Amino acid sequence: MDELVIPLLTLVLYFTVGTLIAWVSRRKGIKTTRDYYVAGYRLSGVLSAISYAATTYSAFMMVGLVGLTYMTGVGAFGFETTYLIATVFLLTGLSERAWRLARERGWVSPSEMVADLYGSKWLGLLVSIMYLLSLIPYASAQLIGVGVTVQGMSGDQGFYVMGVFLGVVAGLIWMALSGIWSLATTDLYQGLWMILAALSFIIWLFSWGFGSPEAFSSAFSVLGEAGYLGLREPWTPITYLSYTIPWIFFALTNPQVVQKIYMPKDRRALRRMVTLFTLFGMTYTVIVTMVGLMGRALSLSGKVPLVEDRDLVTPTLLRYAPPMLSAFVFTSIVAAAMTTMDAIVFTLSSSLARDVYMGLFRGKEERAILVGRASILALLAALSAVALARPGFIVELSVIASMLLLPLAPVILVGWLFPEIGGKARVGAYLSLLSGFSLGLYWSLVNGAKRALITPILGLPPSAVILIVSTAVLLPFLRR
Amino acid sequence: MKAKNLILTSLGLLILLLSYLVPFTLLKDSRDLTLYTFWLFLVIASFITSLIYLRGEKDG
Repeated sequence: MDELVIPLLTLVLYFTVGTLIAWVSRRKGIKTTRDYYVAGYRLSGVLSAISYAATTYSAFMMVGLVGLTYMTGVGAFGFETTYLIATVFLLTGLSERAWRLARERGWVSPSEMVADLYGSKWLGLLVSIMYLLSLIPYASAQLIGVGVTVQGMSGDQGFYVMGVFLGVVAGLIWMALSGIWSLATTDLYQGLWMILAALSFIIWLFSWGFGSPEAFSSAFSVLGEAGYLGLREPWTPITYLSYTIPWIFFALTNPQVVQKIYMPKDRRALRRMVTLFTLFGMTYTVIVTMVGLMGRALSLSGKVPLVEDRDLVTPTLLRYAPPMLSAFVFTSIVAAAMTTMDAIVFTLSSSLARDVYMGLFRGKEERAILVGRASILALLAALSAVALARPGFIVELSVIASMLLLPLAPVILVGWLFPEIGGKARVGAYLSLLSGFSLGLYWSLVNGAKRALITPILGLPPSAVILIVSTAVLLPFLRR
Repeated sequence: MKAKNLILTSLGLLILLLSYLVPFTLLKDSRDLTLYTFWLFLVIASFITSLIYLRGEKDG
């Protein structure tokens, strides 16, 4: 029982402080969905940046990416840096345009943005359905991640349900209390927790595992001889492209991050968001992949047993860490999952309140926040039902979320670059989204979600084919 | 397209292209941290490019 005290106290501390922060940062007089969902376009640069980073980096980093690097070597770092490079350039070149358009046209939800750019409410509904189908499995996988991590910290299977319950209750309080104001401040708190835990983890791992730069250098020589510092299986060019293409366009296709672009209070805050996010992403990626490489070096030297299941690499390494550090890092994984899940639920709720309730049912603005809060509750209930049932295909489906959302990339890119194109390209946007999404869905059903991402279509990566098809369908409609 | 945006787009595409081509041609059999450092260098180059571009933008 004694070994339960530190992890449980850390978890209680994490949830209590998060709830206090959400309470303190609440705003009175929130009357419009614009205030509730995008802070009335008045968020500071620092809050925007860390919220963007915490939303982007899910539990995949400290669990999945550590394991992927451990199993496949440096190629996993390349996969993650490709995402970061593309995102830095997309945000640098396009975020100001999207930020300005959001203000001029009053966008709150990303599906509303697409509807407005192409002049069709039904297109907004189609995009909302795509978001729901693609992101509910992804958000459910995050909640499952919270349950599994709490279970892992306690070593007791019964704690899985407690983890899911805590995740739902905290998410509900942090989101429903004051919308984005409480969510962004808890994101800041959790983002700091994530980066500080990662830093502490790698400092400990270096000193415990290697002790000196010489020992580190010699362990990495062994790692190099074993082929982990070059490109090894499964990193063939096709696999690498299959994995990276959906992530290159993540900043355009994933609504939970697109919505963050609307929020900074001025251009200066927007620029600060881009810069601080890049710094966060760079630091976090380097730490996480170095943990994976160090873990493999320690396994090769016999100091740590060989781990067969890649999701167990981080828990295995943490078994050797001091209990306080272990609890700190495990809680950072909970934080990473929570921030991603909350942001997805929040964005989906904005689509339901703005596009469905206000757009299609002509609901009143004053009641839309209530509808939004109710939809947060309903979405969290749905996620917890899925998390408690734990169907195996949910985690698999979450892997292909970005591939299914890929057809949105050309549609959003064209909309941002030529916002005046409007109705002229409306039919093209419909056809582009429907063809790309159907192709992705069909390929996932035929091959299974896990294989769909890497099974080539006509010798090409499936994500490349989806992107080519959806772009080719849209292009003929762009005559101006 | 403004010259500044053209330079940013070209640099972005070039860096992305390098992030694919060089590792799969010259560095695939790397036995030390060269490949890791190469990708890290590209991220840092992207960050610096972004900083320079954003510094030239107007406030408000």
